[in-house]
Amino acid sequence: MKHFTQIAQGVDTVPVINALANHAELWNQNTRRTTFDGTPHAEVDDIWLRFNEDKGQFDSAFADDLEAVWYPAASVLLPARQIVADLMSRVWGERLGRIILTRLRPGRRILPHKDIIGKYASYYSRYHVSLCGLPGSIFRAADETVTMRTGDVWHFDASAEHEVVNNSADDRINLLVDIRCP
Amino acid sequence: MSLITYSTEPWDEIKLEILPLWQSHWAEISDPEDADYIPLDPDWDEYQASADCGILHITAARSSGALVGYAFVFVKRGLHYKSTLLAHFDLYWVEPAMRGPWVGVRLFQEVERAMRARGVMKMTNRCKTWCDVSPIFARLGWKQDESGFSKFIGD
Repeated sequence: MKHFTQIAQGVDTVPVINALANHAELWNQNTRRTTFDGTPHAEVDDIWLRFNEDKGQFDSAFADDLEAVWYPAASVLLPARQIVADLMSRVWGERLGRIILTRLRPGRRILPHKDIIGKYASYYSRYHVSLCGLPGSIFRAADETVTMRTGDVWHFDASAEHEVVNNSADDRINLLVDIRCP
Repeated sequence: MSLITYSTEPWDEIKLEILPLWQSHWAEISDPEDADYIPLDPDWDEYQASADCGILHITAARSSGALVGYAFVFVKRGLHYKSTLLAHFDLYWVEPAMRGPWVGVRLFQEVERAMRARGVMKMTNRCKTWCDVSPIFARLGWKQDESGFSKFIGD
């Protein structure tokens, strides 16, 4: 496959799912990704664990900023940080970028789009850890489709047009992790 | 109309859900002249072996997570065409309640996309004369190049 590379299976996702069940208030505290005009992620719920420091300016400089800081949710969802630490070790990561928990309810979709491959996206590699993924949850990039099952970890090349349709019976919850790799 | 999505799925997951659909499938398309003598009796071990060695390809159709259709395809080099990768459809079916104008077309299109990605040169398929889906084949650019025959000799 050109755009998807599976790098792990069987990650124990239960501790994170349990933490999410106990902290539903964390969803959608940061909605910039899901509410701007024309966003393809309008049907998504987010929790930002690590992102650029919010200085109130959301311009190209913000988008290109390579430095990310921990957000308060990361202090609550500690099991997610354990997964990230393990992933960093597995891929020999040198630097940690943004980390987002993202949820797509059944029947919802992320519209087709291409990520802007600017300074930030050129620098970091994007990994998806599937915390909840069932058959029928379709992730398409160009002419390739995958279903990320619970516990799978994938490297994803976001430069191709991609979309997600959650036609499964349960939420699709992914942990998006950006890592600078050698 | 329900949303239906199509994707390649592994046998190890499909096998847990497939039997009720196969039973409905068999009830619809089995030959009424010999159905009493040739019961549905899937060779699970053979399917497993085909999956384990990468020959078996499955495209699944799902609606709200439920399996509502499938195409099973065996991908291998031809006995007479060793240098050529071929795809032979084993079986395909969509639940009657989920059938719509484009469901069969999209199922076969997804199979074709996957077969092209695997480097398959030619696909072969068939349909029952009493369950004719040849308009779908025609729409997708297939041609009829053989006629199939069978004779029951188990009486």
